[in-house]
Amino acid sequence: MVRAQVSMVMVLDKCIGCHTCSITCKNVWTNREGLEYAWWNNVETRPGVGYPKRWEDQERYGGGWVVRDGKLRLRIELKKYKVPSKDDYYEPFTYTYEELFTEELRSEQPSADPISMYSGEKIEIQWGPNFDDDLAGGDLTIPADPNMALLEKAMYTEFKNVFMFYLPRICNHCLNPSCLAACPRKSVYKRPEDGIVLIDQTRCRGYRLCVQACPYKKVYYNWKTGKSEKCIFCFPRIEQGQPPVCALTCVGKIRYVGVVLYDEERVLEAAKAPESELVRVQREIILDPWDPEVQRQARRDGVPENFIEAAKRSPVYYMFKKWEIALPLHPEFRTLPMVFYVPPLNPVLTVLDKSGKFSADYDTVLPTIDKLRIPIKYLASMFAAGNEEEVRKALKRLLAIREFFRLVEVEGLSKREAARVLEENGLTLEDADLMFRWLALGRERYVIPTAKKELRIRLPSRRRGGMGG
Amino acid sequence: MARPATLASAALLLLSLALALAGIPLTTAQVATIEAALVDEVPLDPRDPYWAETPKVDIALASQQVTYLVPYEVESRTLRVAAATDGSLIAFYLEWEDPSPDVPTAGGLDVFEDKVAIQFPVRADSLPYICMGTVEEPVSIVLWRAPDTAETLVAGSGYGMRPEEREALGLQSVPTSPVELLPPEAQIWRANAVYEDGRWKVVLYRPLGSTHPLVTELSPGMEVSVAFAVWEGSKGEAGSKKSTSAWYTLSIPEAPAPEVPAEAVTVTETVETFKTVTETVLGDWGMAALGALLAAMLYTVIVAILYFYQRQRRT
Repeated sequence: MVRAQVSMVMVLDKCIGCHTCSITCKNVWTNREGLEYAWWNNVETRPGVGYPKRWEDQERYGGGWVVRDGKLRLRIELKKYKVPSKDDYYEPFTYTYEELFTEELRSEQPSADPISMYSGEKIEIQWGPNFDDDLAGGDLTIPADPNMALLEKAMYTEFKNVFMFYLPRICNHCLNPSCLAACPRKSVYKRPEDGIVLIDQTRCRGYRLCVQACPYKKVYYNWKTGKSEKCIFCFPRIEQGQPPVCALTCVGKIRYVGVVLYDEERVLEAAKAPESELVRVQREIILDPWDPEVQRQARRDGVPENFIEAAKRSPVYYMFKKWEIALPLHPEFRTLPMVFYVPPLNPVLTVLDKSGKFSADYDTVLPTIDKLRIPIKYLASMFAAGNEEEVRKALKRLLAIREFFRLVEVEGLSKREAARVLEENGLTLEDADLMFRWLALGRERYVIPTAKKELRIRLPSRRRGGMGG
Repeated sequence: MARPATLASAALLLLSLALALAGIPLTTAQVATIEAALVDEVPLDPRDPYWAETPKVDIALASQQVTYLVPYEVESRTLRVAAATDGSLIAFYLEWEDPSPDVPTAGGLDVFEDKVAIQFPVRADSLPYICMGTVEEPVSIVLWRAPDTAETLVAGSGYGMRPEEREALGLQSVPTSPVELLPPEAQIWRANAVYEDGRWKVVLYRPLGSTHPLVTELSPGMEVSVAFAVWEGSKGEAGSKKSTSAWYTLSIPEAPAPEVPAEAVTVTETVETFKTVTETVLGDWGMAALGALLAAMLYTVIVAILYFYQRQRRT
């Protein structure tokens, strides 16, 4: 069965860590009591511990799926894992701004002290979302990053070796959502028409099993309403063909929104794939919208025409499936996340050699691994379940496209001559133009079909023993 | 010298002792009745000395059977229950041990509040499925949530009614859950609660009579089934993660006969006359101890008889 999924790609190279996405998201959706601490969209500094602290540490929080005896099992164990507490996120705070106006004239400058948004009492700020920005406290937060487990932690806290990039995160609107599976009240559902995962606020009773079951910790408990909430992919906007607020307001134009068609029958197979195959199989179940057979099947399965058309122009399809430059975040959680990341390009540690040229060992276009500033191992741990080949492929293509344009613009080669560097990496001239248009110019970043509410989209079939079956 | 009868009776005694120690009663206790006491005025404060003094029924609770996804520790707990009525109100006093009071707080993201619930069949003459009823036999539930919320709920009925019927009863036309909050006019339960000495003491009360078709009628002279559930928040209990009881019987006494002016009895005397005595009912443990005691007595008698016969033979 062919289904459509609205999905997003974030190009990490372009993220400047300005948090405009987080702030606009907050102002639109979570600027209310009960969710002061919640950031449906947050931006983390990597390496670092993230938000909530060390959310990737499965031993601490659980979540996602594991394969046991050939079956998918929720990684949720109530005796062992707990829901994150106030200390794991942070205590939301504001400042006593009024005092700036009401304070009596003194020799010192007036100051606004931080106060807790919970108690209203003065507090000493200990932590916040993205508190480890710009490597503040990096000697503590870098080794605490679960993705550093396989690396020489001490080495990367040294000034000459440090690396950093930003990681914006929203709900991944997974194809195999563990939050949905964990809810005993069936409050969490995945919209059949566009795959957006939502929590029905009339059904939810705040058991917080979804909070535990989400390995990305992207479900937030609202202590005021006693119910859980999460990123809704701005569905009221999506239905009107508008991008989500985070994407719309992104300063760096890093976000791309589009539709992909996927084979629903193969979702479980993809979720059960061996770790090193996870990214490949997830790509496999994304279908080619240009394939007439796929289109026919999609129409038969009730996918509206405008969704099929949008899928053909979807930046997500090209970046994740066709060019393979985008990768899912922590595919080893086996939820098949549908927000993808183009890994940061990884500046090379180079020096000017005696002839005045930059010297770095290139293996064709990609510098040899030990010359990369961001260790491939680190990126692979984050975006490919440890499969370095997937990361290398993506980086090589990103470098190839830059090399191609350098050859054309700087060295003065013709496009046909320069195309060699593209071909070596499995890209064509057309790909190069499209990539340039999307990645560099940032045109047509959103290809969003309007909702066809008049069409009845069939609900997913309910199979017996569906749980991990 | 072999004495099979002695050995057998000794074995029986040991067995009964062992079972008693393991907490398995030999004699099955008849499910206890909670008899509501008739009082002048129902004490609504859980700290009222009346509740401390009045005899209570020990309700045995055991963890509800929950399979994957949510396995958790199985344990048993005891809820002490008493009930009282003054002819217009009925109150339940519920007391149970809980090592920590779990009350929702600002920013309490990992706080699961403590809860207790009483379940009645919507129709007093039915005995619904213990796990929150069925469409045919719905249940009426009062849920108390720490620190002071009482919700009147109905479970099971939702899917058995047409949308028009549901709307007429003040429910949403389409059920969103098997357990539903009744409309404000049917929210007849109130709660007072206090946490002291490591226990929650909760008084849940409501007016007698019938108020809403989906709230159980409780009237003087009635007997109605009743079941209980407790959630211990510190163990992350919510929803089906709870401990539940079996069905018990609640008996509500007849209201005092209307005063006949000719008799000219003082009010105090009237009340004195009709004050019923609530019995202490042995819990499972009491029954087990009783069983062991009976077995010991049986053993003594058998041994005595055997000795008696053997002595006769020797002489």
